[in-house]
Amino acid sequence: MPRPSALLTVNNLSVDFYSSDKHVISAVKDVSFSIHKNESLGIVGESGSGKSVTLLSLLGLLDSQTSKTQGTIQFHQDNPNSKTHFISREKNTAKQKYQSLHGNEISIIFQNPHLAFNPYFSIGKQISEMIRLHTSIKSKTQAKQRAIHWLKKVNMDAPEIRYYNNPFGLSGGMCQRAMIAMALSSEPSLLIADEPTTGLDATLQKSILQLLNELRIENHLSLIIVSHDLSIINSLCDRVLVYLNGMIIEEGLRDEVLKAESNNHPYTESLVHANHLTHVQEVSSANSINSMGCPYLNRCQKVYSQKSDKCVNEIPPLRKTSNTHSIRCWAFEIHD
Amino acid sequence: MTYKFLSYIFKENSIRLKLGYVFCVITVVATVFICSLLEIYPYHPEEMNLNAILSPPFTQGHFLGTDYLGRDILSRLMYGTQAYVLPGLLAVLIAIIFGSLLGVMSTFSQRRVANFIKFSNQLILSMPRMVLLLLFIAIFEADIYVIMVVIGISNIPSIAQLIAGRIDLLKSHNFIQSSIATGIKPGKIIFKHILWYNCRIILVNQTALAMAEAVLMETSLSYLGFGVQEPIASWGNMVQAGSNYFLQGQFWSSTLPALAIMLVLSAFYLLSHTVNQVLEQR
Repeated sequence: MPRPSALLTVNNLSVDFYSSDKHVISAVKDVSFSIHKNESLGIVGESGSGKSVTLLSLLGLLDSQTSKTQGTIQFHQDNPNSKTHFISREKNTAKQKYQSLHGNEISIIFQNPHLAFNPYFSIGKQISEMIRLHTSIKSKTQAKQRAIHWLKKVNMDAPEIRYYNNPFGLSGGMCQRAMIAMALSSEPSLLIADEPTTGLDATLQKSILQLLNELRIENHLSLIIVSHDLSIINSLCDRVLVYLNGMIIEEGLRDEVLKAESNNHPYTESLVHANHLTHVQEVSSANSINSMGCPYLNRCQKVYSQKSDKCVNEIPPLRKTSNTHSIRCWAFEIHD
Repeated sequence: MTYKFLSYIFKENSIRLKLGYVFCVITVVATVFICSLLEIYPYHPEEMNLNAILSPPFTQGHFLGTDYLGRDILSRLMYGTQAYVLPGLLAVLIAIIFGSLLGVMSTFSQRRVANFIKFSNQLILSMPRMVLLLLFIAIFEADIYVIMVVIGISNIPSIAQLIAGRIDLLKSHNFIQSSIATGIKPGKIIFKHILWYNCRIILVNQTALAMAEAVLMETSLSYLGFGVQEPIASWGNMVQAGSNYFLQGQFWSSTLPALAIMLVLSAFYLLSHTVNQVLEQR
């Protein structure tokens, strides 16, 4: 059930990919979560765990020929007739209605900004195109002023000159700033960031993250940030989802999930410890993941001491350990 | 000397020179074409002056001389532009419009449609164009416009494949995804962002090359006697008619139209070359 202040609710989202030989790969399995207004949600997980696919399906960007998306995504707006979206192939009208939210209410920051801009078109013009498309500003000169305003907002030096630069004339950090400016220029209420700092060095990472945080508070945005870097999640997010093998295996407030001493799923524990680079767990290949039982079975150290039968034969459900914290592990049956 | 001149033309920093040359030739061709449409010639192109058969250039009254029937070569050269300007544009338009549409379709449609388009592209590409044209003429006794439609159609696959390749490259970046995510309408993404901003180099380039190809095809067919028929003038059949007198010393009646062909073709090739240079600097 969505809470009253929820901005986006995802219910039972599953995404299947079809390869050419009719082989089905389920990338996301029955995922449900919601994000509230002015909240930032972090999604952590190893690569291939379905984080990015979840984001793409939120935006309806998955290719409908090679993938199948099921479940519902609801977006709640301030006005009473809130737009609702059901992902399914039949209901195209709902899909079109939802597509009107793209850019307008939901913006995305991609991992590699150089590849996400149109290479032959100056960044300023791309930003002002966004502004004219999504805000009440329609004249070209006003849109240009507004675009320069946003470029200033993201601390771009000499925004009047950068306005005419093509994306490949900018450095990685500048281009990421321009990307953030473009995402914010349409004045969205939800910002999605897909590994926004992966290609950047440490100092730039820090400044970009600070910028994101400031702008989020200033513009009353909700933020979904996907990363495999726990320090980013730790510094930015209120709530954390941990993904493994297309499932949410742990969900909770930041302190509940990422504090090393709290009661955690063994996978999260290993992630937190891996962050300190003291003992990095050996990662088994995707083939050895048991499709019947717990997705973490082959790497779990608890399984040898307790509950091993259940772990092998049944996928554990996501169960609440407290009001805000839930976990997908048989070992926590006692706390239920 | 010639080599030095050519190497200078093709040097990187001689863009202005190239563009100047291209501009001059195209302006001259356009003016001459309009003059011929308005029937402004020194003489009528089919009017014979039997007193001045095969008179050399700079003769009184015949600036570029006359051919073996005493027809004024300048007038015939002017009239000859009619044989390729409009038909050539038709061929180019067909190739560009359908080529880009098929290119877009083959990347954005379902796999079966895409495979069908790719298969038929390969099919058309695998046929030698000249043989195809000669077959076509032999069967239908076609006039120049129909021939140009065939040339246009045979140019479609290469353009479609170039556009499809470009779009595939863009798809591997997430530029198209991000455009959809920012809420730009699909039509605008395809026509403005993909076809205009990212494929305009290919399109302008191919326009110039296809135009050159059309001129070349028209002249070679006319030379072989399959295109524009005597007594109607075209550069190809002028070369053919003059070639009988070439070795007898009256070289101008075949050399002048051949020179004209060379100038126009090199203008189009240089145009595509410069467009590449200018637009690729991003």
